[in-house]
Amino acid sequence: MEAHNLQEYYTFTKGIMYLLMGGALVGVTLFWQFLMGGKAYRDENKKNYGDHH
Amino acid sequence: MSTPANNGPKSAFNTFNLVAGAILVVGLILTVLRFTQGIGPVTNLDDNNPWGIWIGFDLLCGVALAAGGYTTSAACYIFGLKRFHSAVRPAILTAFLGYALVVFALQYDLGRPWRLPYPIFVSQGTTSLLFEVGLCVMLYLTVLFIEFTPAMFEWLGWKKIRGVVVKLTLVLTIFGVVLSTLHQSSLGALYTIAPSKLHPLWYSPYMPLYFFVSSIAAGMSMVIFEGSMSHKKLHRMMDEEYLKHHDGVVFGFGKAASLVLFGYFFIKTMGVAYDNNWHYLTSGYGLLFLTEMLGFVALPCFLYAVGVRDRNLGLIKKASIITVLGIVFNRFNVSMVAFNYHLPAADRYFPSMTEIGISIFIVTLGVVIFRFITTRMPIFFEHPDYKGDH
Repeated sequence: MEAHNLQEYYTFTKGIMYLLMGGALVGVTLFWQFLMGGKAYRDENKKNYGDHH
Repeated sequence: MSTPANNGPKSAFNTFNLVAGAILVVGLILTVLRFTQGIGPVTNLDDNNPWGIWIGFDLLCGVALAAGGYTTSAACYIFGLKRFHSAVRPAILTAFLGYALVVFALQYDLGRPWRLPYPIFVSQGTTSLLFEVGLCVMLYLTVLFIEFTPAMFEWLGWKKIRGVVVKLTLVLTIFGVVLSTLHQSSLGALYTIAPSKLHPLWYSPYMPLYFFVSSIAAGMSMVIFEGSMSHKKLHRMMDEEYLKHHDGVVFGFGKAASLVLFGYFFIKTMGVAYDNNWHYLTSGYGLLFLTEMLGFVALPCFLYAVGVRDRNLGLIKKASIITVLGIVFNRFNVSMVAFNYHLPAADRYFPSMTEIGISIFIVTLGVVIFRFITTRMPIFFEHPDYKGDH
């Protein structure tokens, strides 16, 4: 990226940071789903509700 | 009350004692050399590199890896996660020894131990971050000592004073969290005064935040790592209560460490974007930075998550080792590798054998004291007179 003035520089870096932040918000939601799922989640449900939930 | 199987090692002449004894003897000789010959002859430090491995490893890594004390006690006493209670005493002991050895190691750098109280009681540099770090470490070391004393008082049979100290637990925990937040971040803030010396990929105005967040992951990983090691080597000192909760502590801390590492990865990426440092990623230092971020942050984050999902203890323990190594790698990069990056190779710092020897000596000293205390005091087991008294 080639910035000709401070305005262009900050528009670029801020723009990238907003995109990253948006990605992080989506990413953390998906990661949370991943982390809270799996065998641990199934075992917990089985313990609480039995096999027929 | 479930009691430990055994009260101590069978023979004093086992492999551990012989190796540790040899290291301690060599360390004592090096200590005599350091304090009789001065800092110049025993180190590779110079005006360009006044802080070496004794700061980069003994101090920065020591403080970060001792963060298990405040994370565990905060989880148990502030957030009310009582299932982590069995991990509190080992974590507090590790933190107390870690900080005590940080102060001890600092004497090798400073050289005049009798002047240790000066910055606090005689000549305060209140505008310096180092003053704030020194004050916090002094206060937090005191807090950790008081938090550790119930185990010592139970061992000595001092019931009354033990009862008084136990009542202070919550206050001490809050005080410990506040002090840790302050000085963990201040260690990162120290490097913000050298923007021209630290490589742009590591330098950021957010370094205090990086140091603080990474210390949380380091602390939790250290609790898992230290717990796993103790589980192997000090199993005889653990009662049923501790063993019953051990797996739960590992899964709980693994889950939390995974989330913290996820957040840490993103705030570090934001730091690169903030200063528009993307072009450095294709350089040699960029490769080092990517190794740190992908190999020692993203990888353990993923391993922790998979380990928690699959209830895989082994994977979580491996992730904890990678995270601990990653913190050491990061602190080395900030304080040595990426520091003074613009200097020619001939002027760069590499520690002398004496410096490395002293660092090994201090780590060994910590392990020996940890072993001495845990094989005598109620750290991994509940004292019969105070069962369930928490």
